[in-house]
Amino acid sequence: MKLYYQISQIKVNGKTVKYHKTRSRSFVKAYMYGMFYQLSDVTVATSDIANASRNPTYYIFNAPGGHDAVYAAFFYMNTFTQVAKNGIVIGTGNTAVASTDYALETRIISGVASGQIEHFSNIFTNVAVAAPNASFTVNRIFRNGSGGSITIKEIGIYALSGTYTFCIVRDVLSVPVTMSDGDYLKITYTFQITA
Amino acid sequence: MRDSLTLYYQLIKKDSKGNIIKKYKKYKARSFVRQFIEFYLVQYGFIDATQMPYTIRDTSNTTQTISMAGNFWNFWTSNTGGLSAPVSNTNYGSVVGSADTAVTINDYALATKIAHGTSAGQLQYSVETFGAPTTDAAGSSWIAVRVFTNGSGNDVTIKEIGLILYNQYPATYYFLFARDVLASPVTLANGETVTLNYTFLTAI
Repeated sequence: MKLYYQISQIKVNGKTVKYHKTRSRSFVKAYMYGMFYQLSDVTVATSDIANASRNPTYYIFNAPGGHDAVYAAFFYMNTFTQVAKNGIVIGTGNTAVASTDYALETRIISGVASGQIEHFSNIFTNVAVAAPNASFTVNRIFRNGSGGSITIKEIGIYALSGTYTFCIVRDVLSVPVTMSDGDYLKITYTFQITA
Repeated sequence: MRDSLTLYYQLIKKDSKGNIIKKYKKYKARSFVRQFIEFYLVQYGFIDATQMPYTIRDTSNTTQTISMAGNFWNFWTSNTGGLSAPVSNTNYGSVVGSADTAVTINDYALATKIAHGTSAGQLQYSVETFGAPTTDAAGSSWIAVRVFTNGSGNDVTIKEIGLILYNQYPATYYFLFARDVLASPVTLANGETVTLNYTFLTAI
């Protein structure tokens, strides 16, 4: 299975910059450990994003948009699938990806305060089959309302399993993307298989 | 371009005493098939059958509606399921077949699955076992293993292999996840066994 990501930036002046579709370097450790449990029914432990040892069972990353600050309440008032930080995430760290990575190096919090970027919903497409390929995508839109510029250097996918969150994908961008105040960013991950 | 998740298979043929007759080359599996990616879409996207029914074709060529929402604990955390087939069960886990019809993305079953047993043309299926995941600097991997024994009294030739998932919610369904036609068919004489190792690998 191939995993790709593509970034589109909509500048505050209306110009769109579309970056090359790039193969994601890295499903990281938790992805495989979760998949192993799902297919073998044998529990294995790996680090969640807090670096605590947990047993992942299944992964969900369909979180809606919102700000990190409201998620704690969201967690208790709604289903726990709606925890803010699951889904496509962004960060400012650029340390090379390691297979043992359990979190983004420096995740950007969802919000409008200094250094924060608003996260919108994760949107999935249906599986599209065009022989010999089958694929689906998940995308998320981000908006910089912080009042200043922020440079995105890493992206990834955080997935919920029970009450814990795991990083299953991490990529460091070969070309960092700087978002000025008012800019939007759309990140799309494509999961594709080929027969 | 390198895959982000790669599936490999390797076959090892042994005589009735357990001596290795031939260790075949480790091949990259050609084909996860569409059910694999459809199943993960349902999981990752937390697809709710009541709001957005999602159907996946099972191994009997029937489309089945599956759902995760509201039942997430049942979906993956049951006592059995996945690929963990018990001895003699050919409904799921690693399976072998005798046909060599080319693989397509829409395959939902082996073309001609070999039945469990000791009659002509049959093989005895072992329990599916697993090697726990390991991680090093290059990535992570784990394996699924099943042994097939020929007690039929005659030769049996394997031409295709596959992986079938056991889904338990909302009902028992079996979904083909992968299928490969062997570049070189493997013929087992009476008393011989073949071990099928599937390796799941991610590499950074």
